[in-house]
Formats: sequence, C-alpha cells, structure tokens
Amino acid sequence: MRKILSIMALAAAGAWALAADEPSPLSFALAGSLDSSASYSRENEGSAFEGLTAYSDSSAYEEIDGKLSFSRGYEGLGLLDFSYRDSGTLDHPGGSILESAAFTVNEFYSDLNIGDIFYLRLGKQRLSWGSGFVFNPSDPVNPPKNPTNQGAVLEGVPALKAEIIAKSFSLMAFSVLFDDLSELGYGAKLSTSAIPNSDLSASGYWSPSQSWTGALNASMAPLYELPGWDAVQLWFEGSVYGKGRFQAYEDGPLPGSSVPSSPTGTQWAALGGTSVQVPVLKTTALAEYYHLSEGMSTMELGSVYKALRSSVAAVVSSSSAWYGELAGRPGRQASDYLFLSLAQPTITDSGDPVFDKIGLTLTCLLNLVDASTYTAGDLSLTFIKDTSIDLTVDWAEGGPYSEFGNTPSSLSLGIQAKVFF
Amino acid sequence: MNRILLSAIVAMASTCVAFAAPAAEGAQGAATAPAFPEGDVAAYIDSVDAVMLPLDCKARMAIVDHYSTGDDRSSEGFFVRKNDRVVWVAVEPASQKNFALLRDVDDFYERFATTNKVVKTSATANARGGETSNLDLTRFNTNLDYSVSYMGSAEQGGKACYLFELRAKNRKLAYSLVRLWVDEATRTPLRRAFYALSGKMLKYYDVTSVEFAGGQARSVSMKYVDALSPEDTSEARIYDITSLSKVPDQFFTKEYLESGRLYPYQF
Repeated sequence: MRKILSIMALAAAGAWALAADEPSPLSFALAGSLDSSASYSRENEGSAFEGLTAYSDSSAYEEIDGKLSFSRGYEGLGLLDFSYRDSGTLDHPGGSILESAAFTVNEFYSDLNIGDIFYLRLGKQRLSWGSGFVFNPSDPVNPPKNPTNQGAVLEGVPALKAEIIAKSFSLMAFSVLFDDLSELGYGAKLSTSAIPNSDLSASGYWSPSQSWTGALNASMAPLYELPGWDAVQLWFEGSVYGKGRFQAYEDGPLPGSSVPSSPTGTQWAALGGTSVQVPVLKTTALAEYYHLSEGMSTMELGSVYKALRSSVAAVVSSSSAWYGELAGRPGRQASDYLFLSLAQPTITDSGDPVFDKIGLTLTCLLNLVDASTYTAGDLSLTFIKDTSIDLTVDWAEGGPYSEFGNTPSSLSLGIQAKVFF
Repeated sequence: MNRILLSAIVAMASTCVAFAAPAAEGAQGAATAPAFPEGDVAAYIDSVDAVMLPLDCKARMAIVDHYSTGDDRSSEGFFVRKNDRVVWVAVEPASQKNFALLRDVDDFYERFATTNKVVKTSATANARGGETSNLDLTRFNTNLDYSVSYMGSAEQGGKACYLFELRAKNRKLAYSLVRLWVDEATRTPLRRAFYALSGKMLKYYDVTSVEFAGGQARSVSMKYVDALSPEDTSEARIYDITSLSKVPDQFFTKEYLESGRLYPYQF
C-alpha cells in the first residue's frame, strides 16, 4: 500500500507541474474537529461473544479529524483527510490501563481540471456510489458503511478516476489500485439530472477477486412543486453481482454446529428510502429498508447463534469461525433491515437562548429477520461557539439467538466534547 | 405526535391555498399597472440587478442574525454566480465549514459540511437558519424568479423611487408576492418587502449601504426585518464583489459539488 501511495504522490506532483504553464498561487484551507470522548458500556452477559475476549466497561479517546484542502487556481485541487486517535481503555479486568494511538489517512488525493470538462483524480478517495443513507448495498468498491454507527469517518480506496462532468450528465471511469497489478478493479458510472426533480445513475464494476457488479441508483423529489413539502425525498439503490461478498451458512460436522462456507451464485441487493422535513417543526424523519439476498434467514441466523452459545464445547469450537465473520458485518448479517431516524437539529430556531442550542437525534436499526433492534440517541448541546457537547446512549435488544441480542455490549453511555476549527 | 400531525395538516392546507390563489392575484395586478417611464420593465430590472451584482462573479457574504431574546448568530461564506446559477459555500461557523448550497436555475442542492453527500433541497428551506431562506442566499436574477409589474412612483427613505410588484413565476418560491422600491436617481434597490398570500407582509429588507467602484457595486449591506416580530433582524453584507470572465457550467452541477471541488477561485 505504501508503494502505491508513493507512486500516486509522485504522479500527482508531476501532473500539477505539467499544468503550471500559468501558475496560480497555491492556497490551503483546513477544517475539522477535535473530539474528547468518554463512554461506559455494560457488558452483554447474554452475548455469544461474552467472555471471548477481555472486555472493558469504560473507555476514552481523543481524536483529531482534519481535512486539509489545497488548490491552485481553478486547475488543481487536492485533499488530505486524516484522523489521529489516542484511545485509552480503563477498568480493564486485569486492572491495567491500555492505551493505543492510530493515525489514519482517510482520503489523500490530487486532481486536475482539463478544459473545464475532463477531470483526473489520483489517490486514496471515496468513490461516489450509492444513494443509500445508512448503507450502500450496491457499492463494491468503498469500505462499507457501518449501519450501527452513522458518525464514523469513512475511508476511501486508492484509485485513479477520470470524470467528464457536463451540464446534463456525468461519466466516471475508474480503476481501483492494488499492490498486485493483476488484481486491479475497473468501474464506470453514468449519471444524469436531466429528468426534472430526479437524479439517476447506472454503474458497473469488475475485479478478478470480486467478480462483477451492476447497479442502478435513483433519487427524486416527488413533491418538489409543493411549498412546505418540497424537501420530501425518495431514493432507490439496487445491484446484481456475480458472487456473494459474505460467508454463507452451512451445517457443521457435529449436530447443532454451523460453519461458514463459500458463497455461490449470483446475488442481488436493494434499498429504498424516504425522508421528509416536517414543516414548522423542522424535524427530519428518515426511513430506509434494505434487502441482501445473501443475508441469512431466520433459521440460519438462529442456528449460528445457537451453535455459538451451545453448552457443548465441541459444537462451539467447530462453529467458532462465525465469531469473526459476524463481528465483521454489523447490520449485514440478515437478509432484511429497516432503519428509522428522527432528527431535530435544534428544538427551536427563533433566537431562544436555550432551546436553539439543543438538538436531538434518535435512530433505530431493526433486524427484520430476528426482530432485534439497535437504538441510539444523541442530545447535542451547542451553547459555546464552535463547540458541541453530545450525550449519547446506545442500547441493543433482542432474543438469545438474534443479532442485536448478541452484541458485545447491551448498553453504552457516552459524553463527547467536540471543538470545530 | 399530536403536534406533528397538527403541523402536517396545517402545511397541507396552506399548500392547497397556494395552488388556488396566485392566478386571481396576477390578473388583478396586471389590470392596475401604469406605464413605466423608462421603457421596458424587464430590461430595467435586469440593469438594476447588474449594478448590484454582475452576471458572472464571485463575492463574499457575511450574515448576522439578531433576535429579540438578545441572542446573535453569525455566519460567513462565499459564492460564485453564473447568471441563473449560484454556488454558496459556508466558511463560518466552523461546524458548518464546507457546507454548500447549489442553485441551478430552479433546482436546489445542499452538500453536508462533513461529507461529500449532496441531496436535493428547496428554495423555501432554510439551510443556514435565521431569517434567510435558500432563495434569499441565491436570489440574484429578479426576472428569473418573478414577473415584474410597475406600480408607480413612491418614496422610500426620503428618496424618490419606482415601485414594482413581483409575482412568483412558480410555486417553488418562498414568497408569492414581493414589492421592490428602486431609487430613481441611482437605480439602486432600496427595499424589498415579502408578502403572504393573505397580503400580510412577512418580512422586508432595506439596502443600508452600497459602495461603488467604476459604476459597479463592490459591497452591499442589507438589513432583513421579520415583519411579524420586528426585533428579529438579520444583517447581510455582500462584499469583495468581483466580475469573472469565465465560469464553467460544470461548476453548477450536483456531480461537481459531490466531487468536493469547493475552492475553484481565490477568496
């Protein structure tokens, strides 16, 4: 990966130099936030993961999330999006305090404008793909969103992207870069806003390791002509792909056990969503449903969790590969999910010295296959300029053989102070 | 929940009224309009707009909202205009840095401050809060949004003015009726007043100062007043107004905004 990034940095510098016939001054702009956060989590003693690893019940972190953009006139643009997090784990069962630091380059790219219609971008970047809010089931290229954490910083992928942006359509072609050249992925997207009150895109991707993906995305504002209700939105995201991205279910060798198996056959995924801002109140309500054909059924998901919670050690042992698989796909274990969100940016917007400074958000991810829920609430206080203090609560509910009945923590309380710059 | 339902019913009812009223009002306005002494009204209004803001330009904007409670809220940004299209980018407060609003003729999009996500929004929405709607931030071409009728002479702030009546061309706009006072001597707009369908004034703004350079405004200051709550005001200042010789069309597309290219010009 370092080799790829080095090559990209050199290529970007060269491209900027070539475009320097009439050099414009280089300018920089920095934006971001400094977060200080502390949280207490109550271990879910009924979880299949309980006791698997030492589990902390309180932790804290400091994080800097910055976006440094640089531009030279109208021709060149670049972005460095980075995060530095110093995490501390308190109340460790062994009595020690664990501390770790991580620096992450979320995006780092440079691009060139050629003739005001053709754009080249090289570097680690998030490729625009998918109209879903909480999750993009049609996206085969970017690291997936976590439907249980909408505030997470999103990383990109190393890629070379060429884009034609015209008035009524845009065409994007890209290659996702890997250290091994034989693994390069290729994709394209055609999008248009030519149809009134709507945006449409068709896209495709192929790589040797991921087979192929065809996707269709659409969003529209059906009531755009109605004052007060013009912000109502509908969107759809769908895809068909040649090979499953997750491990599939299979009965294990021991009665009651289950093992992950290689997915087979063409798969499909679909997402539909709507949002509305209630006039006067300015509350935004959002609902999103998604289906993954390779997601597990009620019986399969129940069998996996039953095997991992078995009192027979041999059954747990032969099924243990599922621990890692399940931990890596929150909100993507089952076939059907519903996401609901209510957001009130500020309680009032009329100059009230208190209620203008308080915001509320409530979200719920419902696993429709096993009826388990993951709910999160956020109370945001913005009494100090460029600062917010957030009080958060997350809790998971579900039966013993359900996804959210087996999260590592059943309840989490947090406080976060964020300073914007 | 009852509060939400009640608001929904009220909003639906007002929507139905909005469909029914403008046609009748338009007919009444046309019947009473006197002859305009300076010829073509639309051409005159274009020239008034052009003195304030060139068709292709960039500028900075600062807005301070003052509330009767004593609370103040300020924001700053810059915009790039190409005739009927505008991109407005926030730089203050820090939490809103890189929030962007795109107006492509009648379509509005907003880009969230922390991601490249771009979603459709509307003229009536109030992306930055305060007294200014999305349309207020991007209303630079009067003839695009309104049918203009000359209503006669009137005095405003001690100056002889032409009074115009502006009727919204489509229902997407926040106010169906606007009255505009233009200084006869300098062609400077002095006041715009915005009305509800009932004829009640909802808000107005006065142009409090204009600095000219070479016959072109370099900065314009305005004071918005909530007519229903006159102690709630917003002061807006557009400054560093600079003509641009070349502004690409692509800058005003959703895809361009999604690509994160927010700093194409020096500010």
